[in-house]
Amino acid sequence: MDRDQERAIEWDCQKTMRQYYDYVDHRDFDSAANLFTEDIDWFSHGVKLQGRKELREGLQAALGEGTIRHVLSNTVVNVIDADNAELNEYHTLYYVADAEFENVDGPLAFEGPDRVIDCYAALRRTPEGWRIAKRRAPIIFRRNPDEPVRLETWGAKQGKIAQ
Amino acid sequence: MDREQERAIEWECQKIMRRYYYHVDRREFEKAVDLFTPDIDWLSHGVKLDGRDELLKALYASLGEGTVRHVLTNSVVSVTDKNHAICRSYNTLYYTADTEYQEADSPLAMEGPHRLLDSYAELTRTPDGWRISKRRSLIVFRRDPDEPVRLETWGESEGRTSGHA
Repeated sequence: MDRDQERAIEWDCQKTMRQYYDYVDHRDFDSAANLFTEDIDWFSHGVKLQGRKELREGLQAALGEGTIRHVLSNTVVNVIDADNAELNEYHTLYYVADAEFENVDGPLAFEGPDRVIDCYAALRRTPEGWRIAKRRAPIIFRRNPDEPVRLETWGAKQGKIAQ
Repeated sequence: MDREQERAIEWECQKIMRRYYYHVDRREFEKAVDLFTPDIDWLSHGVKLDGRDELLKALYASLGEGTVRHVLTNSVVSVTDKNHAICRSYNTLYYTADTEYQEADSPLAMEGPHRLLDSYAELTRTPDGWRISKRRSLIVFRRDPDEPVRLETWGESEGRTSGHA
């Protein structure tokens, strides 16, 4: 593979990740879930999910209320071959649990980021384009370490917590 | 249009957005305004502006003093056709109203971002290259919601306030 082909893959994989967060942050969970492979292997906040259906449920439970913005930076894509790539980036999360931006009159008060996350994703080329096949997201910094967020509460209740 | 042509448009449009913030953050307002179409339709912080002349006045009024850095991320460009595209981004703003960085002896104190905006832009291909023809931005998070920034104060005094900020 030449460098031009590699660059095109790097660009398309970045776009898939950004598109995913544009969808989830604006609660378009069906479009978001469609950017994963059918057999997505997903692990974040200690919660393990397998497949699009579980992921769709997890997104609704975690982000159906409140307001979140995932600010993506430091993205590096490593192309493995014509159909596989890996991506690492940082996520700086701004979050409030108890208000939906679209239902309030004006901005939400904040004091800074809620979390910084190391994000890893494996992407696979499919007939529909590049899709996320595996995702890992350890939290590195956290504003209130003892206050669980909705995904963690939901994951515990559903028995989906894994090490 | 094939994917290679689409990628080229995505790159050019992202570059225009980044270049715009490079110029405004350094107070190069004339260069910043040249990146818009002459009939730019602009709404941000509840302030509605039409055309380059109005935009230039507003940039001087809002960013002629103080220091701001617009940290632009998450840009997703959707190509409509070979002459039109839409760009969605996040803008994390670091801001102080009362000091100009170029006149200070040391870095400016901060406690974190001042606001986070959902940014939407429509871009049009012109003989001079891609230009921003419509812009909307909504403040999602804000450090001091009751303290207006200069753009809001100016917009109010000029009768240009309109809609959700």
